[in-house]
Amino acid sequence: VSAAKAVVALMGGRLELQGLQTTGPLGEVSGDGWVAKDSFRLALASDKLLLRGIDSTLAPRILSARLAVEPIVAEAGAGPVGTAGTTGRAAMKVEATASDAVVAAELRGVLSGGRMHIDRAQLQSKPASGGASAGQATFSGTVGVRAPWPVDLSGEFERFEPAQLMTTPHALLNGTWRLAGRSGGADGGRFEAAATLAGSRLQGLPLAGTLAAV
Amino acid sequence: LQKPVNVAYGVADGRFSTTSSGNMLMAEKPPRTTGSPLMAAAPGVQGGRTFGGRLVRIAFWGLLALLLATAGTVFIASRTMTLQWAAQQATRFTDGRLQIEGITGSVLSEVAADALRWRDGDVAITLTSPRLTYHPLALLDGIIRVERIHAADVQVDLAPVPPGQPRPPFRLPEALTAMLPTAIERLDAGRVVVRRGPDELVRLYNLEAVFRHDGDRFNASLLNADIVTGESRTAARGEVAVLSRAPYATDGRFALRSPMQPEPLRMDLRINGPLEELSVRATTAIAGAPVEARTVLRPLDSRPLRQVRVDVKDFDLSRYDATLPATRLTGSYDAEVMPAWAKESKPLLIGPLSVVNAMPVPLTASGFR
Repeated sequence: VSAAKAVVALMGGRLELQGLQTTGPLGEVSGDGWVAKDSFRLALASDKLLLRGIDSTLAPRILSARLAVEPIVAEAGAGPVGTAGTTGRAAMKVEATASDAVVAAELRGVLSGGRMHIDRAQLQSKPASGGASAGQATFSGTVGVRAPWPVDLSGEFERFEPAQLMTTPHALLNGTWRLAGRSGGADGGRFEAAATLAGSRLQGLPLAGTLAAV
Repeated sequence: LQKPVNVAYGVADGRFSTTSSGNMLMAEKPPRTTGSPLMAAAPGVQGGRTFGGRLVRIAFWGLLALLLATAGTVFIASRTMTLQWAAQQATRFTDGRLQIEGITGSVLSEVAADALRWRDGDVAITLTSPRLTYHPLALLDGIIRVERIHAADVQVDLAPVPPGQPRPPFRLPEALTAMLPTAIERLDAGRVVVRRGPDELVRLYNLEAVFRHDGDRFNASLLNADIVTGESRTAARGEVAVLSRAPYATDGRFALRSPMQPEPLRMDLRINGPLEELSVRATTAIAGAPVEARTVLRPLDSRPLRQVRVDVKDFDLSRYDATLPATRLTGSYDAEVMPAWAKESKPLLIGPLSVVNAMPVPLTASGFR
């Protein structure tokens, strides 16, 4: 974030953000939300979300995106669902969507115990070379939201073109993959990755087999 | 004097009488003159003897009466019964607003009680096990000198304010001056609790202070106080001087220390201005970044705080929490305190926040660890 503006109110034991507007490498984001001792809510929206604001290796896309995080209420008026994990925070429902003319992404999950449990995330993209059938990547698993940023994800590719999202050589992927490890920690992080591909292509060449790396 | 003087005093028929023998200036046989200048006045001695004798007798009886009166006063003042009587009189004099239970000690040195209660209008103050140690002889020097005022527990109860009704304004008199300069060398309390209705506003532990009033100003030095509000505990010390006449110009400095994570928070507080409208400036550093808060405090007003402005410079989130991204934030928060316009769900603070980050980088390059 380069600059942020909001009306901030401390009310009833919680900090409220109203009319939040931010600009920066991520683009322009607006929204509102509140933070309490054991719960929070956040609703962010952007019509100009720059993908490279997340990571410089991603494709230079400008997306329209929405993110909503809110406490899971067991019953009307019963308050948030009981705490989980070690954070003491209530479980949160997370929903995110992002799209432009070529790619569309959707994620649904639950944030609890310092980790996001992704029920299902789906990424669809129109083929760069044209064609009717869209490529798709789906995955599920858990992602840590604090150090050491643990990751345990697995998913499938179906006619997925990673170059639509990342600055990688052109490829068309079909198969399954798994990624487990952490990106932080005393040793700087450690990942185990495995992929099984069939009927895939890399720079126009056929690609198939099993890959495992640490 | 050439011989011992024997004087006998007696009371007979309700009259004092004296008899004496021996040799002094007004003795039966005046000493032989030797031509000295003193003795040259011998012809006047006869008249002076009568006058001098009266003078000595008056002085003697006066001194004796004074001694007896002093001894009686000391005897009476040192009795606990006297204190109990005085406590009863104080209760009567204040129409029952002051109540003292189990008073013991002496007016001349130390007074202790089981409890002392003061209730006046919207304020009730209860002191448990109060003790007052003072030096009455310092009054001869024109000063009220109190060695120590102690209470194990102090409870201040403020009447609750009905919803929607502002507190009635409180006005100070033109001057607040004690009859004599006053020095309280130590004022301490184990615990002080301030409540408004059922709500606890603040709680102090280990309060220690020194208080002086020289006629023109009040000086208070806070040696220590552990302030507890909610779950936070802050140690405070400092000093404040207040002129004893309107507008009660005030100047004070306090240092606050709070055991926050990841490092203790130390805050310097500067207060100055007229007592009814004090400028307050608080400075601190959070994770090495300077933070300054300014406000105007109206301690006698129904809304003591109306506006608060907080400025921060060069704040690095990763220094505050190593898992957060590296930043260089400069920003300000200009908040209204409990705004009068809010009808329901009155916010404690509300206002615009603006932040600029001089080190914007992509999310994954911002130093997540």
